[in-house]
Amino acid sequence: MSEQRSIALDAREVTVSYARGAPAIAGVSLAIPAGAAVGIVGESGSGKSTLARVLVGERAPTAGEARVFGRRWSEVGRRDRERRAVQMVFQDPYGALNPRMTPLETVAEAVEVVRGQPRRAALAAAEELLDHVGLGGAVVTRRPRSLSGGQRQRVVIARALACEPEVLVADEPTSALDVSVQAQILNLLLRLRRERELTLVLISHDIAVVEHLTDEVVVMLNGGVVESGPVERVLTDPHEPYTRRLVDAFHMRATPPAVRTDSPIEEQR
Amino acid sequence: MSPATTPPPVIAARELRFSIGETVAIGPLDLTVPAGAMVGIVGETGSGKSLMCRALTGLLPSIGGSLDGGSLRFEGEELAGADARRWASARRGRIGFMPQASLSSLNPVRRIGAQMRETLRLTGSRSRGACDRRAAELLALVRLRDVPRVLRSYPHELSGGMRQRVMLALALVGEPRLLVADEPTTALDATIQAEVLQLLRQVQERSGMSVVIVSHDLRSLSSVCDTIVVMYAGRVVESGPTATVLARPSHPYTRGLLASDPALTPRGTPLRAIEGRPLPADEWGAPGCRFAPRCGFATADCTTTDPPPEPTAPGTQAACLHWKEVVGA
Repeated sequence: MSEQRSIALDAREVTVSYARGAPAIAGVSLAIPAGAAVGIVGESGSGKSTLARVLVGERAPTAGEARVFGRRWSEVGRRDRERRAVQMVFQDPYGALNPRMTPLETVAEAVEVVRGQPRRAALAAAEELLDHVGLGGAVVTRRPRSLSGGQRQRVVIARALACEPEVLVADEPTSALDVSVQAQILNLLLRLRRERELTLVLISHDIAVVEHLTDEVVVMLNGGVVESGPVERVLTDPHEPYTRRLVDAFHMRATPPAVRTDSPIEEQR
Repeated sequence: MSPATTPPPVIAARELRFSIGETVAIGPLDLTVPAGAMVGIVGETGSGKSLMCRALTGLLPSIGGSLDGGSLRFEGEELAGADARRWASARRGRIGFMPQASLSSLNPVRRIGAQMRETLRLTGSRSRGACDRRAAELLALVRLRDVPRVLRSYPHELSGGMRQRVMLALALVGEPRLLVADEPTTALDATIQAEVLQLLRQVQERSGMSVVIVSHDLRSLSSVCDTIVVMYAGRVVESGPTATVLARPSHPYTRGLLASDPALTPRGTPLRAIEGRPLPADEWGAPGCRFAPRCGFATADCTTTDPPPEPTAPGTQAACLHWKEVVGA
């Protein structure tokens, strides 16, 4: 058992093709050890979100296989533990919420389904979970429409926590948020990781976010993994030209405050 | 005040007020854009930074907004109170504008060449041949390779970064004295963002025009701008030379923005996030500092006094009663 559990999510030679054009990802292998925090970076169209959907069992690979705690996703039933143990958080928290349900109802429903608790106990548990992600007071009885982006994302995270996940896969969880609110959500993810020993997979185009939250980074380009390794190594010693450009853009942002007129600009083709 | 030899600022706004709808009233605020400078305006959603772009270019009416008071001088010429016709003539050949989401503001069914020709004709009728030559020059200026192919292309045949370069070329058509760019890199990937900002800076330096860039990303702006202006809830809360603002923020909100940036915080340690959320516009009428509800420095005074901008360092201003504590913290 313990040996099987050492790898939480595992993609082996995974290819995903849509109806037309080049495959979204091709021949990607990636293992996420239990308890690890792994970032997946790449630009739009690099295949990082497709890979995330394969890792959480939401999309079946066209070729290759994806496993969760050693079991093939294709063999995992709707109500199996593994399905529940892997939860996903998306960029657009509004689209992920039922517009007619309050945060309290949304989270309570998840508690009812997952833990089989009666309504009253589920509501109490939901209140506790919402408090845990920093939501309390009148906010928990409002409709999603009247919540801010940061508050909605907290609701989505609380609902994911109701499932008592072991793995959280977050796809651009802060991209739609303002800087000051992004920091609150990043702090929440850091705290959850520490307190709950969550395995964290963080997909982002922003290498600063990945650098802050994760230990390992996987760099994707054109549907494949071009480089992976410890965050510090990749940031200080990128091996691939694309990673180098990504890291340069990151350092340009991270280095105050010179005006760099000396650096040549690559021509766009 | 200033020596006679220095040119007047391209933009000098004093006590400027503008609004859209019933609730969103921005200002009064001051803004100076020196000739040949690159000024970055940073703010979160709803801070009024996009409306600021519209105010500076006389384009508020096109989205239902209006300029309500104060002074707005463009190279010394007072434009507050100017009608649409005067604004149009002030803009022509002098002010370029890259609207937000300009990635989608190219006409999808017309080739780039035709769209550029149309814009070139608006700024001074030329022959088709002269228009084509100028279009090619402008596309080369924004560092697009294979210009003939770009001119023949439809927008969907170009990448996001290429389309944004085309938008920049279009904004440069009249050789403007001022370019106003609203979130020019927001929809682009990180590597392309950096390139577009560097390109803007290079074009600015070569032409000597002034640039105002609006963004939610303080770090990106500070990599290319001479001056940073920080907006919060419809006010300018701090402004000054980039190096000073970054090294010695004197408004608690600026300080909070820097502390919220994961790129500046040791890995895996909690960010010193700003608690709460920005004050919604319908609560801007209440007395006191609009940042006070989220501010660790706030005292009872802050809930009653609207803090005026005060000089905090050479060229730097902050609207905070407690700026000395903020600088010392």
